[in-house]
Amino acid sequence: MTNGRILQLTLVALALIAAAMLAVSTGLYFLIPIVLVAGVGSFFVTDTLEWLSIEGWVANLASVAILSFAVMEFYPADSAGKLMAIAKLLVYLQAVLFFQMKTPRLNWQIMVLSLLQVVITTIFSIEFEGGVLFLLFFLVAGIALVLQNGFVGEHAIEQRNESSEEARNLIEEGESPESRLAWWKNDTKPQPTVTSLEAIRKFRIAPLAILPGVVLLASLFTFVVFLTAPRNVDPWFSPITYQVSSTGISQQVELEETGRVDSSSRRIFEAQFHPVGSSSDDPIQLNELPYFRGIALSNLTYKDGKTQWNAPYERIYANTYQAIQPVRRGKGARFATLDVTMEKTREPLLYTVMPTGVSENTLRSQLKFCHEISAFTRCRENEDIDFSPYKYELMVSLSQTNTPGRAWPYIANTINTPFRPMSQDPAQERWLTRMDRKVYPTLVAIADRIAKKNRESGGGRADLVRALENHFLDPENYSYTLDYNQVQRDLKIDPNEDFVANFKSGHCVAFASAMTLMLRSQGIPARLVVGFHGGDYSTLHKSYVVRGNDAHAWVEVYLTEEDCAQGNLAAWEYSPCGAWLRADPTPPRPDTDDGIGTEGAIELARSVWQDYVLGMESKKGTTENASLTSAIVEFLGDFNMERLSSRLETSRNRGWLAILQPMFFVSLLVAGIIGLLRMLILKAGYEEELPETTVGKIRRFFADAIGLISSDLREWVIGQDSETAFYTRLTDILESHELVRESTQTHREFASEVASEYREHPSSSLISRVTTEVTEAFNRVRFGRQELSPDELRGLDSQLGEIEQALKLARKDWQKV
Amino acid sequence: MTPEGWVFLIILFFIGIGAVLRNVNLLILATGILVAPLIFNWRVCVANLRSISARRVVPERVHALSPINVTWTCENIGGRLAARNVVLRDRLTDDRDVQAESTSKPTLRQVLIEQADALFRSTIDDNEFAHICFKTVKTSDPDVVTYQCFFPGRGKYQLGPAVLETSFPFGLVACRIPIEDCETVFVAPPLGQLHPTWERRINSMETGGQSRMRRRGLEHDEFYAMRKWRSGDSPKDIHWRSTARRGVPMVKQYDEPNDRDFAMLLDLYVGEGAPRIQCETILSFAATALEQTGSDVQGQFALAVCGQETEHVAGRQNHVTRAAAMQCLATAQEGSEADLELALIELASKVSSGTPLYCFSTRDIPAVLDSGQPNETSPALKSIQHLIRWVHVGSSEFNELFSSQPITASSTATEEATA
Repeated sequence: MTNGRILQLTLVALALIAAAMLAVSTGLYFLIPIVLVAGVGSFFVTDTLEWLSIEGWVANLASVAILSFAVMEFYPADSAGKLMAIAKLLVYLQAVLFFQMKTPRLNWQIMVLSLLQVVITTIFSIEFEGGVLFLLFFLVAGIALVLQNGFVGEHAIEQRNESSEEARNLIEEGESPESRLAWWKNDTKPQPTVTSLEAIRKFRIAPLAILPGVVLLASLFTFVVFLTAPRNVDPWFSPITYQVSSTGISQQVELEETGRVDSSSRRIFEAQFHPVGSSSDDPIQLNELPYFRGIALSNLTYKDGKTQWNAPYERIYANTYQAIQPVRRGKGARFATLDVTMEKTREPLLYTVMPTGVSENTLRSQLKFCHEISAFTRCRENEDIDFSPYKYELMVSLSQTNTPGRAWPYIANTINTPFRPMSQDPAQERWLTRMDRKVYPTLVAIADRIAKKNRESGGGRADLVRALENHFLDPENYSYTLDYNQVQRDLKIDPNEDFVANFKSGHCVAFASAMTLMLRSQGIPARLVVGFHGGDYSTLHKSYVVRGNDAHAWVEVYLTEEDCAQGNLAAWEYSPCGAWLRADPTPPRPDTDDGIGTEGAIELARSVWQDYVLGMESKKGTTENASLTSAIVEFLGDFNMERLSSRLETSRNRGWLAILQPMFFVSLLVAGIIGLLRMLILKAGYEEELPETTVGKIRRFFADAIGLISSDLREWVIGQDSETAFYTRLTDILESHELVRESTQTHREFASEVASEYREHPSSSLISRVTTEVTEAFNRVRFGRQELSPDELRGLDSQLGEIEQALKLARKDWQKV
Repeated sequence: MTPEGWVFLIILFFIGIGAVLRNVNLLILATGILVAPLIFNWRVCVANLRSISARRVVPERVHALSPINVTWTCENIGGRLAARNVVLRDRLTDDRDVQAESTSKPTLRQVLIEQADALFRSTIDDNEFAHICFKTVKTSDPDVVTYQCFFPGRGKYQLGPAVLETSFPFGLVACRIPIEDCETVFVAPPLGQLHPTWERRINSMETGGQSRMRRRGLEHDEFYAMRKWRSGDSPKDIHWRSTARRGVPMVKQYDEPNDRDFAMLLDLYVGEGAPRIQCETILSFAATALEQTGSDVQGQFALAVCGQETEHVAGRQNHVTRAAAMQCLATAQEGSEADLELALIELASKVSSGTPLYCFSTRDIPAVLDSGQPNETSPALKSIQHLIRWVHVGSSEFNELFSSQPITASSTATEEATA
């Protein structure tokens, strides 16, 4: 296989990756088959079999037609549409290029078009899968560039050979012998041809060995650039397929699960708790994982006789929205502000830990509370939601030990009289206890049994709630699973009934739904609530990062004031109107962190990509740009580096350090990486014998690394080397006569410069000879790894003595001579 | 920076600016990824070329229309890495182009156009250069690459200066080092085919007095080799020690010294009835005759080329004299005002008296040189008139001596088939 053939295949792969990225980010999936057909087809038809090749003028004509088509599509479109029109134009042009005879220039054009496609893709932003393709693209592009580098040379030689041979044939095949002699009538330029062209064309894998080095270096540069360049979370363009329309919380729950319940690690929001009235404003970690409440699904409906939980949107009107009230003060409570940064979403729903209320920074005009669903929203009904990250702040009550509340004060859904107990609102009570007992015989029987037992033991409503909760939490009764493939379902009966009677294994929604129904069967107002539980607490950023797989469902049970008091709720957790008590019947998830398997690794990579590449800046609550300084300081935060951080930040603001700082780190890291590469990867062709001692090896390692940046630096590092002390002496002597080797000069060049400088000198031959001999000896020792014998060293020493004496003659004197 | 590198840099610049202005994280990532190859390419190029040197070897004798092999040896002394994809561009120019370049100073416009052209010109179109590629030059393992060079016409050519260039690994940044070493190549006229008539004539021709003296002397022929005894060999020549060692009679073989002198005048007259092509035929004939002169010939050789200027080459018949003569043939220019009389007198003075003076011309013998014509000539000319052997290139006599078509394998096969 020739180098050119491999290059063509690589270009096809490159174009395919770029098209796949475009397709993934823009949804234009038809681009993939276009590139596939064009790339693979042209490889066989145009490159290998040479059956079809588009002439230049036909290609130009086709390009103009494609351009016109793209312009027609471009002008009427919106911004995203314009970009997509450009993306399509790039792919079509690339397809045309594929069917032309491949020259280095054409290959380069294909590569550039692919790169531009990737640029457009990045503007649209891409998910993790696209990110993998993004990195793969640059790897394949690197291979393509290396192959192209070889192809350029061989193509030039091939073309030159062709034109030379053509000219030669014209001359040699002259009509008469005499015409051969009439050289002045021919092109008299010499016609060179390379004879062993096959050897040049042959593909060799060795040059590609340099790629791991480039990958490492690119990673390094990417790391530095990514941390030092101003960066923010807000992409330029709204991604087309980016999952932004939902936060992962369903506003309707069906329980007909039969397969595996998907969970995404997509980031939903990030939350921090700042204590109020504390001496330190540092974010705090709660003693329990917080429940970020979303929406109450209180509407129980039956579809085909089976349970469905819905948000009662049909009961929501403009007057059901109210401004958020201040959080209630109470004994034993402390306040904390909850700062939440939502990822991009079009949903108005917001999340908070209950009980909650306004803070000084709450956007009262924008944040509303809907009584019917007991949910926060960020605008009124029918109002457009901006598509962007959204930040809000609320005040939440916590216990003195930083434990979130188990219950929150009840607020009625009547706008005019929100502060009255549910007993005074029979319609609401009926609504929240509505259920068809006939659908769930086993479930009701279990509930009755537990309620009876509770009554017999003199327990109140709160005790019944705990008893039902414990019933589900008992591992002998139920188990947690997300995989319904392992569950024997009876699809003829209601899923809740099936759950408690038969399979007894499910995820949070199944447990919460069953418990809600049990509570309702006992006449206790209850509703199913969806939101998020926990999240990953980052000790670095002191915040909770909540992801899609933290989505959770639990139960809210209405308790009267008496029930609350009987249930030992803290005073700040309820009001005279009663409280919504949180009950979570879902058993803990089985620990799946026994090790990172393939799926775990992919999930981890996905979240890293989401959080640190596409996602929001890790520094919370500010619009500061990320910087290397802040990253380093954050990493060293445990070592009290705040002072250094502030100093560096100040310096950065001045400007000069902003330039020097990354350069310094880049230089340092590049030197280290290149040295590592030299040792590990670029061994081919480098047969240097390493010094035996460990110190010697380390010094040589760093010296070689630095040597790739500057040979002078390298010499400086190993300048103390006694092996080449004689050359150091020579340079010292010459330096004292103002002759210094330039960094761009080789040692031999310097020697000839010295000889030329002193050509008028009476001892010019001595100077020339000694300089040359010392330089050659130096080259032998330094680069040839040879050792000089003691006699040779003595000889060099005496010669250097001679040259030192000779050069003592002042310049003006010998110039006179 | 290569043209591809400039394009890459422009794209990188726009990506970088877009990334910063628009806060697109992925573009920042792309910027970082794209910066690395550029810098890596630059440093690898510098490291590759730092220790590279190359030298050219050109054959001593070069004839037009006969391809020669120019060999380049590339060494990597003291380098820490194997240099890869090192392209060498050897400049090949007709000496007249070089002279024209050096005499006329280019205008600013020409310089700018040339620079811009060089920047965007593909090396493919650059037909002044021979391109060769050293795929891998390992340390202490020189790489040798040969290119074949075909010179369409005789003349003085210059090889070099050359440029060693590498843009490995990505072709975005190119580093080059000039190799100022230039070599002047005198391309002799193309070789033709001498017929046996020429050989016979040379062998039978009278030689000068000095060489006759030398032949008659007591100087013994030089020992050449040993061979088996053949019938008719003198028993005196048997080498008894070798005979005893081999077991068969061995005789000493002596090399007969061929020390005849040879003088030749080439009249490159161009005029009515004397086209330039005939001048080239004469030069081709002379080059062929010189090329085929055996190394055993040791007499004096003199050559006079009468064209625009009259040039003489004389000396013992050895490779130095032959090289000088070939140089003279390579650069000879036809003319119409040569002083043949003077040239012949000087030619005769370079060889032993009595040596025939072969004159090859595009015209008939001028009356002043013809010994058969009654005319007033100088005594010097008169003394050599009888030695002049005038051959007109257009004559049948010349055609019996020489054909400008060289012997090729195909022509030999045709001749054999005809026989």
